Amino acid sequence: MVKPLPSEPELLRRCAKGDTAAFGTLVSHHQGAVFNLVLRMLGDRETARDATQEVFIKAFRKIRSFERRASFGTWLYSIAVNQCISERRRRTTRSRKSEVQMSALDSEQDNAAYDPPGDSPAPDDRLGADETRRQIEHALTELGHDCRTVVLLRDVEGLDYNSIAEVLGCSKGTVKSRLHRARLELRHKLRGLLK
Amino acid sequence: MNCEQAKSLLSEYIDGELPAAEDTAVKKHLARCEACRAEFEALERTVALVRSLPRAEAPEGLERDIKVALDRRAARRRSAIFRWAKVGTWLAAAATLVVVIKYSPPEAPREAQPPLGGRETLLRAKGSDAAKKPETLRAGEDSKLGVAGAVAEKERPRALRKVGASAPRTEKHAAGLMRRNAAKAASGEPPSLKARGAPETEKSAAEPAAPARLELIYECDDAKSGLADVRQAVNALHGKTLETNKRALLQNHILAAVPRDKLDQLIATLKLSKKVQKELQERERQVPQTAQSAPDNAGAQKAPPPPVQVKIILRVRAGE
Repeated sequence: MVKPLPSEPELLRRCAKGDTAAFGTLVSHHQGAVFNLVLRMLGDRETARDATQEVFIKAFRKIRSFERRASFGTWLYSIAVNQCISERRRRTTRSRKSEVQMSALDSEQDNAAYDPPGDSPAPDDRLGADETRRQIEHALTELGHDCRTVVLLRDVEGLDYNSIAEVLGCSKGTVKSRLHRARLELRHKLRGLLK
Repeated sequence: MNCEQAKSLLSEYIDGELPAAEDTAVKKHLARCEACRAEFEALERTVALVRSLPRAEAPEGLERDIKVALDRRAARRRSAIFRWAKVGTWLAAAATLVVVIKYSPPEAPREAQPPLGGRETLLRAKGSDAAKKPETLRAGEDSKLGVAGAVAEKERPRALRKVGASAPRTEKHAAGLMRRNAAKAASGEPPSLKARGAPETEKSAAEPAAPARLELIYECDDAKSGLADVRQAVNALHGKTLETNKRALLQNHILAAVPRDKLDQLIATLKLSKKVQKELQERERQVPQTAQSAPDNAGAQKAPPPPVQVKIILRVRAGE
């Protein structure tokens, strides 16, 4: 979850006046979380980079319409989810495969990015960890868009149910049912890892 | 709580989102139901696996790219605003020009400025303007004018009034000039000799440099014999009649060029009264000054004074 900034309200006030430097501070605090979500949603690193950039540009453009009911991070997530939906639609109209390209996640860059920091496991353990990660990611990609989004927002980004409901613009009950259904599906897909 | 109810709440139970009472009920059920506990453990491990995924770090330079994109966008907006402001300025200028052209007064009053010598031309020009404008208006009415036409309809009568007012003014001016000219030439109303601006002399009245022309009235018994007397008198004084008998009889006057120094003799020959002679002498003093000014200025070469053009009007005595 994105760490709340003590000076966030002040930064937002400055951003509303068109201060790009203040917005730069917000970007540096939130870019990792937004990029992570977008990458998991779209699967392609380059596309995720462009989409993340677009998310922040849209956020800056709409910052005056931002209501302080939710946190800025939650608001950014909602923009990111919508951006991912637009991107998927664009892909569909281009008659491309809408499924997440696992090959993108297998690239060397991604391997470096996904390496858990601090630990230096043995080569065999590392291969096993990579395989486990790959299976989990693959299982996520096989989920429907709505279920995947809920799982990512809850288990990857760590949002509570209310925040997820705000991001998705749906009820808390819908979030609960979608999350439960997604987890049951994942349990079935990852049964090999659960033994 | 039965197994089905417990299983449906497992996801929320894992997340700690259940209310305290339900949370306790699920906890108790899992403690006594092995199948549900196995289900719970599998689900809990699934969630743990997903949560174990490493977080992807934002790519290098993403922040910088966002800043560059925002700056570029701001610059685009500024240039767009500037562009629109520029377009607005041009439009305003164009609109002003249109308004100025549309509502500026007609050029007729400015035409009234040339020297008086061009009076006839001026009057002709005004006359044609005044004659044309109503036609234009009528054409506008017939052809169902638009907004511009309606504006023109409003404005043009004003323009016409101006033209109409300026023409008589010019005529008055010319008449005033003639009066002043005549006042210079004649101080009273002579009974038989009148110095007045004839229609032909109106043009010369407007041209101060042009020589004045005298008008004499010759009273005779009949036009033919009077004409013969005039011809004889003029020829005798080495003057020259300038028109044929036929034309002179038609217009009842004849033009003659008489040497300046023979004017007195002509008046005497034609038996003009003393008063007339006095009048003529007074005019003579003024007219030659302007007529002779050019030769005097010419310098050493002494040319003979130019002949005076005299218009002799034939008046037949009534009852004789």
